[in-house]
Amino acid sequence: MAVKPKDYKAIEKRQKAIRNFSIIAHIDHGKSTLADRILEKTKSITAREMREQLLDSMDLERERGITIKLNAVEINYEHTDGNPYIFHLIDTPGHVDFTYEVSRSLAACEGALLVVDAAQGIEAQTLANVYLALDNDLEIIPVINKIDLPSADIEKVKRDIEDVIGLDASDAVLTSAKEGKGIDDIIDHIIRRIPAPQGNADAPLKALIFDSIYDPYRGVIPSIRVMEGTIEKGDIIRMMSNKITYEVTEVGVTTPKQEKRDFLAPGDVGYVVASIKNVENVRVGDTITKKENPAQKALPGYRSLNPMVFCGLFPIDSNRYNDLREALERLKLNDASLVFEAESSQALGFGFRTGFLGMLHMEIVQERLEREFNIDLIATAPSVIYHVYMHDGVMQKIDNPSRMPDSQDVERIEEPYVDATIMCPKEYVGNIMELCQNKRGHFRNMEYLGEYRVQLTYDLPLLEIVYDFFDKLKSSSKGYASLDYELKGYKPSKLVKMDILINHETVDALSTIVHRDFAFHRGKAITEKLKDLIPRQMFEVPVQAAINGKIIARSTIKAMRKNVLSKCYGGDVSRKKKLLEKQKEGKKRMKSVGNVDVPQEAFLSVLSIDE
Amino acid sequence: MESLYIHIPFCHRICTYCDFVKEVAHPDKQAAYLDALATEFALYKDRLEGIKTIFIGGGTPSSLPLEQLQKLFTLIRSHVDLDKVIEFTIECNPSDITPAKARCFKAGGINRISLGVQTFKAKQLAFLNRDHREEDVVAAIDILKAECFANISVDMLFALIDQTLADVKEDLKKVLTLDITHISYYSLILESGTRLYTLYKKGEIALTEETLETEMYETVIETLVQHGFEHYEVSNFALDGNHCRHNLHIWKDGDYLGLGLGAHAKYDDRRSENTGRVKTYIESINETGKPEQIFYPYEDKRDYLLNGLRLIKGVDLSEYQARFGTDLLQDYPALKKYLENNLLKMQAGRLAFTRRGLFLGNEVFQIF
Repeated sequence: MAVKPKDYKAIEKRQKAIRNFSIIAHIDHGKSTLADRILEKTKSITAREMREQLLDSMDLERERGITIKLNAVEINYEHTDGNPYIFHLIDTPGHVDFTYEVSRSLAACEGALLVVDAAQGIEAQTLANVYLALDNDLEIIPVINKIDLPSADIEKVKRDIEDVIGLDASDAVLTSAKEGKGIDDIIDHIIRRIPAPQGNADAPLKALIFDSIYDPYRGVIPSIRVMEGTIEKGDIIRMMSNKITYEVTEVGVTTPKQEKRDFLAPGDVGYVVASIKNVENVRVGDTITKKENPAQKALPGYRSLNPMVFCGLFPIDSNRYNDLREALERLKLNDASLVFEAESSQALGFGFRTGFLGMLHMEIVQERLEREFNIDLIATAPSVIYHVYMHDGVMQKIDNPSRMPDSQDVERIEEPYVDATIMCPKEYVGNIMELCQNKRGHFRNMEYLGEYRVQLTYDLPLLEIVYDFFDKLKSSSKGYASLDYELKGYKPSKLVKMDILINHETVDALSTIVHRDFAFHRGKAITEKLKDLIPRQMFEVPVQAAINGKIIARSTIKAMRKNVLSKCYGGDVSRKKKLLEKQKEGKKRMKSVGNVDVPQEAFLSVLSIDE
Repeated sequence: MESLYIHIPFCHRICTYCDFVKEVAHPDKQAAYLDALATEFALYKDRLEGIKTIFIGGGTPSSLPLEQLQKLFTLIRSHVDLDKVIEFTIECNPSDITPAKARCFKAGGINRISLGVQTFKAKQLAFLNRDHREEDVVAAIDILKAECFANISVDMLFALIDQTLADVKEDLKKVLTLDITHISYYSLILESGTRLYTLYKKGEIALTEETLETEMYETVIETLVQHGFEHYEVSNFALDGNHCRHNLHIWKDGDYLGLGLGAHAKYDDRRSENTGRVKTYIESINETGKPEQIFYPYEDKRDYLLNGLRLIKGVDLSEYQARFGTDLLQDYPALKKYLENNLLKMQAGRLAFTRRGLFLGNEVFQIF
């Protein structure tokens, strides 16, 4: 509906018709399908435009079935009550690495649909996000999805919602997004229960940044939710955290195409183009105001996100160092939480120390570098940030095990701990407690959520989560357990640096930090694993694990003894050549460390060892 | 042309490990194949002069019915002056050898038999899908001896699935009791497109571990050498100078003609390979007068070395110089490293593998 600029009556009228909401759901509980159905039902896109899971635009997202990048869509809808409504559906990522982004996109809403799988009940991640929504005072509409499944237990899920979250689930919406059932009910609830946005259009501008995308021609384009005031072309806007100003060249909404608007007013969810070159200057959670007549106070909840997990990324082909730098710079344009700086390793040459929000974030970046930029990478085992207190009282932050100071200079080392919440069916509690014990966890609490589900709370070292905790959790619960965690703080630990020597040479890229009590065991496991991963060379190669120069474990890669094609096939020398080319190619994909050809996988071997 | 290879792609049954071009075929198809082969022969009329060695390989050439064998020999005789042929080999399965077939070979001009024995152990033979047993080998050799075949070679395999070193020693003991002049002793190689490969991919079998395989190979070499066989090529052993002249010619990078399905040839400084599909072979000959072929570049130095170094006595430096006009060690400076770490040796003007180097041949071959 067309509104003349600064016709505050009309703005107010329009504002009353706006409903801003997110969908909270566990991975594969049907969030994307539900979003698709709502779009279909409200005819915001034609069937031809419809693609499966339209909101998830990156290939990787579609393949993994998860949302990484946030998206928002404006939907204009003529309801059966005869009134027009404007929905803004703000999508959220569904992974623990991106909790902060989730909280900011929830802050842009007045309501949320809580989607729970009728057969599986609430998972830890969902619960964490519901709490975030409650923190933001959102109206929560419970939706029980997949009601057609034979194993659906609607009553149990309702009890779950009431017991665990304390929400009234008596009028929960029952749906099957796949079959398109219950969608009208959802729309009805959205209109009836989610409040229209508050905020004065004539107050100083306050707009929340909850996402941004990078456009090669127009720069960084933040997604915003206007809380108060208006924003339009020609405005000089200011980021409240860093005071940097820009001139607005365009505002608009996504439907999901970008559509220009004359201005955005309270309740509006849209985008701002302002020739912003550096993504770091427009951080998620920050408040946009205007240079003239600025808001006095920023919106609450802004914090700058710091990476928690680090690893070294090295091109296998050292000639591609510059390509790798350019690729990382390109990814960073769209991803403010990705940080990197040049690093050099004796074993791997030149590369980048790269920081991520979490393991998924790390995997996604690595995969995009290999897939979108065609750079074959060696990634070293991930590390966390250690606080190393020296005898002279100085504290060093170390994110790279090979940079760990000599032990005689170190007074103590502290490592980050997380507050971990694990939810699982009760039969797996024993397994999971054992796992947490093995991962140096401190038990905090156990609580029954209804009859069957248990919530465990542990303090766990982040380092252990970064290792193989997710995989182990899945295998010890047949996939039923779910995990959420939050950084809690630092605690002193008996940590030591363990070096790996291949053919008597320390390979810096394989150094790790381990707990002293686990060192011997882990050293043994890693050396054994490396023995299997590194192909036989022409000579015998010892693989050793050492702490402070003392060898604690050793394995031996036997010398290659036979590599010759025994048969010459009736004059067919081309077959032999093919085999030789293949062997040569294989060698090219390895890094030569000292005299030894080491394959890519070896550098990650410290991650997945069977203990 | 000095050497001629002829491929007969038919078998009674298919061996578990075999990835040569072969099939089990109806006699009508075999007849059609021989007709096509005759057409191909005619194409090379001018090249067939001066042939000194002929090798009929397969497949299983001995599996052809008697009358087709006769037809094949007649075909060869009509194109090749057999009086000038020094060595004429046919590959045989022990169970195919009957007095009648042996006489047919003799009449056809064959003077060397290559017998596919592989192993003597019944369980292994069954797994390999061979249709003979130990006693068939003995019987076949008796028949061949009775027909005055003096030059007999047997093909053997080691590093078979679940084979032990003791099994290999047992096979060696048995093969040495046979009155033969030549042994080819190959290690089992996993090739895609074989039953063996499928079993391996499914995880149902494990290949012989490298250390054990090396011990087996060493045992084979030492035992045969002890018993008077000359180890003259990676996998080949000859008694009393009965080397395979045909293969020696190929290893010395000589020119040769290949006729029939999937056959390779090398002459006029290029390599060619005939199509590997029987149907395509027959149709392309019937329609265009010649078989469908693909060509490979002849990489003179590389091919010369990849072949020549397979011979235990290696390659002659002055011959290399004469042939290519360059110095071998200057052409490949990387050879120096392998001479230093004793994979290669220089002896009497020849560059050759050491025993250790022989086992690691592909490491060296990668530099060419």
